[in-house]
Amino acid sequence: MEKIYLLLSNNPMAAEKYREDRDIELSYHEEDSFRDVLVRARDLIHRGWHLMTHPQASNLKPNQCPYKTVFLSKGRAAESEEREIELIEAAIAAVDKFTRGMQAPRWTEKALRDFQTVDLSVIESALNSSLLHQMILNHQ
Amino acid sequence: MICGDNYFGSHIESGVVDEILELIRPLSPDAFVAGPAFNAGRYGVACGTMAKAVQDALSIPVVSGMYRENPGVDMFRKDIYIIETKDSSADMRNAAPKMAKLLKKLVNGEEVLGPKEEGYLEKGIRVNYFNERRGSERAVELLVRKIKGEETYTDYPMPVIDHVAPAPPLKDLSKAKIALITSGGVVPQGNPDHIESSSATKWGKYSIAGMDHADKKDFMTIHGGYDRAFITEDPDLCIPVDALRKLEKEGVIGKLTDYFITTTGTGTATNSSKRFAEEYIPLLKEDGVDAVLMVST
Amino acid sequence: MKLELGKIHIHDVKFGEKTEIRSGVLYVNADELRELVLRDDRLIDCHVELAHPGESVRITPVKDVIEPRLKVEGPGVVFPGVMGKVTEVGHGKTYCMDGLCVVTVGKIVGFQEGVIDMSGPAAEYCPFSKTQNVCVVIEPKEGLETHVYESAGRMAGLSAATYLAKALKDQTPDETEVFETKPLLEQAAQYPDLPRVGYIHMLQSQGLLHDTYYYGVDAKQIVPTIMYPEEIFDGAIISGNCVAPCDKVTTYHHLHNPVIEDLFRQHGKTVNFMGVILTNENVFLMDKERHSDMTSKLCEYLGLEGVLLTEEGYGNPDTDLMMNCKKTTQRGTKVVIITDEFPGRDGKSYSLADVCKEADTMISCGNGNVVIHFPAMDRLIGTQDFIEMQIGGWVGCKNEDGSFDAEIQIIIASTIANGFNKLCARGY
Repeated sequence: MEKIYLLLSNNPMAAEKYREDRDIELSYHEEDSFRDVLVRARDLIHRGWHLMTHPQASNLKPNQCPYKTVFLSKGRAAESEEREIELIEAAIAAVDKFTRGMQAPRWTEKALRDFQTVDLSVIESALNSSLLHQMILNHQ
Repeated sequence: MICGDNYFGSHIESGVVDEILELIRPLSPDAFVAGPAFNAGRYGVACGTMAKAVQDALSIPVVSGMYRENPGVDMFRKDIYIIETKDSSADMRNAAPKMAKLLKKLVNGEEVLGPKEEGYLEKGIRVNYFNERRGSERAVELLVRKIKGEETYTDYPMPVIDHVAPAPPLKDLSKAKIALITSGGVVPQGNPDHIESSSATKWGKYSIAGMDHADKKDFMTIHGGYDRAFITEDPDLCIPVDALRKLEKEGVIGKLTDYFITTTGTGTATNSSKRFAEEYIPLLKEDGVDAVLMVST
Repeated sequence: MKLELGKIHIHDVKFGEKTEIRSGVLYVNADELRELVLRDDRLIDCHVELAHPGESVRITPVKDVIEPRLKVEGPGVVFPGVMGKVTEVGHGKTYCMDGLCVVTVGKIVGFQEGVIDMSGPAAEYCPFSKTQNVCVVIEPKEGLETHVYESAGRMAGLSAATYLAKALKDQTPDETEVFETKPLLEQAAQYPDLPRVGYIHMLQSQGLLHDTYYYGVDAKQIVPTIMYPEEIFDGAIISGNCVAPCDKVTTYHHLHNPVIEDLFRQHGKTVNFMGVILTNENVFLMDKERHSDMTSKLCEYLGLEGVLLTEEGYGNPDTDLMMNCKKTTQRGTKVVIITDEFPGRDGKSYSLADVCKEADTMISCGNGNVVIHFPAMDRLIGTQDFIEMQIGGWVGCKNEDGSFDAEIQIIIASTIANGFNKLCARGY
C-alpha cells in the first residue's frame, strides 16, 4: 500500500529511526539546510501534501539549530490549503529574519547530536499524539 | 532636482537612479529631501526610491512626505523617514515644516522621538523601553477597559494581511468569456458620468460592442496621474480592444464582453476600490464572465 | 479553595554550620546540600555558590530558578507529584522565602542556557539580579542520554529548593497574603456587578527541553482543563523548559505567575477572578485545533466576559496563541494577549510568527533581539565557554577579557512573556 505519511528531514537521527517505518515514508536530505527543508515542504504542499506539524515547532529559532523535520500527509488535512501556505511561508520568512547577516555557529559534534535529539523529540511529540497515532493506524 | 514621475518610472531599469545620484553627488549635500508626494502614487515611489538610494550611497539623512495610502509608504517606510501628509498638495504648508524640523534633527544628530511626536509614518522598528508598570498589571487594566467597551490600545498593532485567494485556473481559454477592466481613466468622449481625474469615488461601464479597436474619436482619458498624450492618441494602449478582438478571432479566447469597466486609480482610496469591485462583480457574474483582464497605468 | 501565603523576607544568604534562617538571613550548609543533590547517581559533581545583588558576578548557563516554599498547613506538599504525593494542593498555609532563589547551573545540552548578571547593564533586564541566589552547579555523568540528564538537572533544582525550604518551618511571616477562589456558582455570585474574568495559561509542551509538568504530568498529555489559581502557588506547575532563556517560564515564574497575582490584586475591586484554564502548545496541528476549540469552549461554558492569554515561547506557540485568541473572541469572551517580540536584529520584521485580526489588544514584554554589551565580571559561576553558541550569542561575540555582546534573549527572563517585567517595545 502506498504510504500517505511523509517525514521530511535533514536530521540523520530522525532518518535512522524512520528509514524502514511501516506507515511513514522518509524523505531525508543530508545536505539540506534548515531553510531548504522548509522550502521542500512548501513545494510539497503546493503539490497536494498537507502539513501535519507546525513548521516552526521547537523554541529554537532557525539560527539556533541546524536541523528541521516536518511531517506531511496525503490524507486528512488539519488546516485549509491557504492556511498551510501561510504557515510555511511564515516559517521561511522567519528563517530569513533571524539569519540575515548572521554567521552560523560552528557547533561541536556533541552539540550537533543534542540538536538532533531535540529535533527528533519535538517531531515525535507530534507522532505520539493520540489523535495522529490513531490516524496513522487507520491509514487516514 | 526635477524629474517627471513617468520618466522615472519607465527608466528604472535603464539606470535613472544612478543618473540622478551622479547629479547629486558633486553637490556634496548634507541632507536630502524628496517630495512631499501626498497621494501621488508614482511620485511617492520615485521619492522613496531616490531617498533610499541617496541614504545608501551618500550616507546622509533623508526625509520624504506622503499620504498614508501612497504606495510609496509601504515600499519605503522601513527604510526612510516619511512625514505623514494629507492626500493633496493643499497640505504643503503643514507638511513642509514637519519635514524640515525632522531633517534638521537628523543633520544635527539630535534624538528622533517616536512617530507621534515627530509626525512621521511609523517605520515599524520595535524599540525597547521600560514602562512604569509591569505588563501583567497593564494587561488586567486593559482587559477591564475592553470588557466595559471603553477605549483600548495595543502595544503591537497586528500587521494587516489582506488575503485574496487566487481563483482556480480557467479550464479552457478558448471558451472563456473575458471582460476588460482598467484603473487608467479611459472613458467615452465627454466623460458622461463625470468620473474624477483623481481620488475617484465612482466607476463606469461603457460599450465596446462591435468595435474592433478603441478609437480616439470614441474614447479619451481623464486620469490625472500620467502624461495623457499617448493614450489620448491611442486608447488601445490602456484598453487593448484591438488585441483582444484579434485573439477572439483566432479562437484563443472565447469571447470579449460588449463593455469595459473603468475608473481612475490615482489617489483613489483603497476602501473605494474595494467598494467598486463589490459593486461590479455581481454584474460580471450575472453576465457569465469567466476571467478579467485588469490593466493599470 | 483558600490559601494563606506567608512571606519570610530574606535579605542575605551566607554559608553556615546549619541550614537555617536567622533575622532575615539564610545560612546554608553547603556540604549537606551537595550530598543531597549527589544522591542522584546521574550526577558526578555538584558545588554550591552564592550570588548577591550588586556583586560583579555572572551565572551561566542557567537551567531553572526556583523559590523555596514549604507547606505548613493543609494537604499535600509543594511540587506535588514530583517531590511527594500527587495530592491536590492550594489549601491551607504555605511559607515562602521572599527574595531568595535556587539557581540550577550547568551544561544542559549543546546550545546551553541563559545568563544572570548580578550587576551591570544586563542586570536591568533580569529579575534574578535582584534576588539572593543559591547556585547549584551540577556536572552530569559522561555519556548520559539527553532526556535523562535534563530530568536529573530538573530534579537537582527542585531537591535543593525543597531542602532549603525546611528552614521555613518555625518562622513567623513578615507578610501574609490570602487568596481565595470559590466554586464557580458561588464565585459568580460573590461579585455579581464585576466582570467575570479568567486566565488562559498556555504551557510549553513540544518535546525534550520544551516541556512543563502539571502535578508531575507532562503537559503534552493533558486536554485543556480548569485549575484553581491557588494551586499554582504550591508548585502544581513546574518548568522542564530549557530553551530561549529570555522567555522561558522558570519554576519561580510559575510560583509567582504575575497574571494570577495581578488578577487577585483586582479581585473584588475591578474584576471577579473566576479561575485559570490550562492548555498546551502541541506540535501536531490537529491537536492545536482541538485544544483551542476546547479552551474557547471552557471560556464560554464558564461564562467568562474576559480572559488574559499568555504563551511560552516563539514560533509554534504563536499559532496556538492566535487560535485561542480568535476562537475565544468569536465565542464572545474578550481577550487581551501578553507576549514578547522577536522582530529580528534590525527590529523591522514581524514580531510574532502568526497573526489574527482578533489580536487587537496586546501587551508587549519587549523585543528580545536587541543587542547589549555584557562587561566582564570578577567572578563566574558556571562557565561562559559556550557564550557564542548560547541563544542570543553569535560567532565572534565574545572578547578576550570575558566581556561580550549578545541579544537580550540570552538573559534569563528578560522578556518573559507573562508580563512579569516592565520592559515593553513600541513602534518607531
